[in-house]
Amino acid sequence: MKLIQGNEACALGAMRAGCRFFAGYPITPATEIMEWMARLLPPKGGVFIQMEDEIAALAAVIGASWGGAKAMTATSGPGFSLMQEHLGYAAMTETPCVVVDSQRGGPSTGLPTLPAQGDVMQARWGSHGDRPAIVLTASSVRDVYEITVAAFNLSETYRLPVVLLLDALLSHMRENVELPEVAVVDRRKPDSVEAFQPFGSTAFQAFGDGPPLVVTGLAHADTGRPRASDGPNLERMLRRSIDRLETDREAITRYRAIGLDDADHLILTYGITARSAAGAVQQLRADGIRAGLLELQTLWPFPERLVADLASRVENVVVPELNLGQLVMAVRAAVGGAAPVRHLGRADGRLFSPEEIATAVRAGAHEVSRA
Amino acid sequence: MPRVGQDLRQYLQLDSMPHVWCPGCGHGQVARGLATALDRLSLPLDQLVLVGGIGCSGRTPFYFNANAMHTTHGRALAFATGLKLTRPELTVITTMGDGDTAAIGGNHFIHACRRNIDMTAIVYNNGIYGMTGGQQAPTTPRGARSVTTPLGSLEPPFDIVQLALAAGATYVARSTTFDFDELPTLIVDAVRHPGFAVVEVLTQCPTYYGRLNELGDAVAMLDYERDLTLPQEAITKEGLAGRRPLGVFRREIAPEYTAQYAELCARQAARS
Amino acid sequence: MIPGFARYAQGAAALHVNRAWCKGCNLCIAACPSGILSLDTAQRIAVGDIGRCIFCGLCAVRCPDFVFVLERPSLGPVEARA
Repeated sequence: MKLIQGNEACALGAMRAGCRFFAGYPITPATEIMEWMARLLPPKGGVFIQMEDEIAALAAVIGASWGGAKAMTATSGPGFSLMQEHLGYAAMTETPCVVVDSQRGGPSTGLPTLPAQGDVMQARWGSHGDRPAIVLTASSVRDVYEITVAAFNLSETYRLPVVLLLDALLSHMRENVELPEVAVVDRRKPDSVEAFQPFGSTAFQAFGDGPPLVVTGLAHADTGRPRASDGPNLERMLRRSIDRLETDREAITRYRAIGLDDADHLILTYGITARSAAGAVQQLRADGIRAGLLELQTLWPFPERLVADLASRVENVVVPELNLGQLVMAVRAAVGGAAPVRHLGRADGRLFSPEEIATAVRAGAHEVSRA
Repeated sequence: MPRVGQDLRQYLQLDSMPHVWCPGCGHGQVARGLATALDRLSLPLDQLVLVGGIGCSGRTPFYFNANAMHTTHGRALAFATGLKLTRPELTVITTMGDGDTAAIGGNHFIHACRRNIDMTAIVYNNGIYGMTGGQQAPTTPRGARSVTTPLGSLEPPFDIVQLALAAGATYVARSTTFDFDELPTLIVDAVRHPGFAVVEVLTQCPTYYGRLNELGDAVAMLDYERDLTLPQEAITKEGLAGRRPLGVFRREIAPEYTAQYAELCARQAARS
Repeated sequence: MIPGFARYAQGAAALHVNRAWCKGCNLCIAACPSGILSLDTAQRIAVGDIGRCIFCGLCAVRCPDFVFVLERPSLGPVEARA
C-alpha cells in the first residue's frame, strides 16, 4: 500500500507497460506526469525530453515510436488542441503511442486548476478527417495505473494512438493504492522483414531494423509508398482500421458495472463523475430505488450495443458529466428512444455530488412513474 | 575522390522516377548533391533516415533508397528529434523548405539548432512556397513578387544562416545549386559533423519565383544565383558587399545531446 | 548497359542518357561546352555527335533529373577541383 498521486500512477503505469520515451511540455494539471517520467526513464535507459511545444512533443513521440520505442506524452486542453494534427498523423501512419489529456475547465485557458470532462468529443473528432479512435478514461488512482497500461496495450495491438482522459482532480489527488498485477502487450515484430508490408499489419518494424521503410501522412499503399490521388485506396485503409476496432469492440470496451443486474434506473457516466455516481447508487438503493451504474472506461469506440441493451431493460437513463453535453450525444443515439435520457451537465470546475445525481434519478423515476 | 557524372542510381528509388519536381527545378540538383554526398559517405542506406516536411523539398525522401519519413509541415525536426534520441546510431537527415523551416517550422528549427543533436538539416531555400502555387515565404526578398505579394513583398527576409548561428547550431553552411561540387562536399561535412548541422541551399524555382519575378528559365536563374552569391573569403578580399556569402560559417565541437544523455543514463544506472 | 538509358559510345568511353526522365529544362544544353546536346521535337534530350563529347560531366552535374551517367574506364573517374 502506497500513497500515490494520480499523475504519479500514470507515470508508473507507463513505465510498467514498457514506455521508454516521453516527450512533453509543461501544462497544468498534467505536468507531474512529465516530471515523474524525467526521473523514471534515465535509470532504465529510456529517453526523456522536454520539447519546445506540444506540437513538437507529439511529433517526437511519433518519431520515437518509429525508432521502436513505446512512447507517450501528457498534456491538458490547450496542449491537446495543439496536438490534433499529429494525432491524425499517428492514426494515418498506424503509429502506436499514448497521449494523456488531463482535462481542465475550457475552452481556451479556462480554469487551469479545476476539473472538467470537456474534451470527450475532441478526443474522438479533434483531428481532421475520418479516423478510428480509442479513448480511455479513469476514475481512481489505481485505475489510472491499470488503464495507462491498457492504453499502451491497445495502442500496440491496434497500431493506433490511444488517448487517456484524466482530469485535474484525479491527476492531483492521492489515494492509498496497492498497484495491481498487469499484463503487458509487447510490440510484435514481423515474422519476416523481407515480405513485410508495414501498413495494415499489427506487427511493427522500426527504422533500421530491416529493409528501408517509407512512412507518410499522405494516403499511401500498404507498402508505405504515397498514393496521394488514390481515393478508393485511402477509404479502404480507413475502413479496414475502423472495422478492426468494430470486430474487437467487446474486447476493447472496459467498464465497471454496479447493480446493473436488477436496475430500473441507469446512471451512465465515466471518469471522476463515476465516483459521485457510485455514491448516488448507494443512496438510492438505501431508499429502495433500484439504481445501477455503468461506469465506462472506454469512451471510444462507444459501446453502442452494451448501452442499447441496458437501456432496453431500464426505465430511465441519467448521464452526468462535467461538460455541457458531450458523451450524452452518443448515449442518446445508442438508446434510440428505448428509455428517456436525462443529461446532467456542468462546466463550472466543480464535481456533481452524489445527492445531485440521486436527485436527477429520483426526478426521472418520478416522471416515469407518473406516465 | 570527388567524381562527376557517376552512376547514382543505387541511391534512388528507381520506380518513383522521374521525380515530381518541375523542369529545371533546383531541388533535383539538391537531390543529386545529396546522392553524391551519400556516395562519398558510404553509409548503409537502411541505417539512414531522410525526414521530410511538407512542400516540394519534403518529397526528397521518397526518391531515395533509404528510410523515408514524410511528416507534417514545419515539424520534420521534431519528429527527427524523437527518432534520433531513440536510435542514436541511425543517421538522420531532414529535407525541408524555407517556409517549412522558417515560417511554420521556425520554433522547431531554433530549438533543434540549440540542442545540438547529431542530425543534419538541409534547407532548400527557393524564396517561395512552390508546392502550393507561389506564395510569399519568410525568405522572399523585399520587393519580390509572389502570388500573395503581387505588388512586391514589404517584408525583410530571414537569413537562414544567421538564424541558425544565433540559435546556436554548431555547424552552419550555405551553398547553391550552382555550386555542384561544393554542395555535396558541404553535405558530407555536415553529416560527419558530430552535432547539429545546417546546410542552407539556394535553389531555383523557375515555375513560380522565376516566372513571377521575370528571372527567366532555370539556365538564367543559375546565372542569377551565381551573381547573387560568392564564397565568403572572396567577399572580404574583393570587398564585394551585397553578395550573399557562401561556405562554412561555423564549425564547432560542443557537447552532443545524445552522447550527453547516454552519459547521464549511465551515471544513473551506476548509482542504482 | 544501364536499363532505361541509351548508350552513346566514344571508343571505350560512353555517355548514358535516360530520355524518359528528361524534362527539357535546357540546363545540360547550356552547360555543354561542345554543344552536342539539343532538344528533340518532344522537348526531350537528344545527343548529337558523341565523337565531339569531351566527357567533362557538366551535363550530368547540371541535370536535376539524373538523366546522364558517364562511363570513362580508360581515363578513370572525372575529378572535380575540390
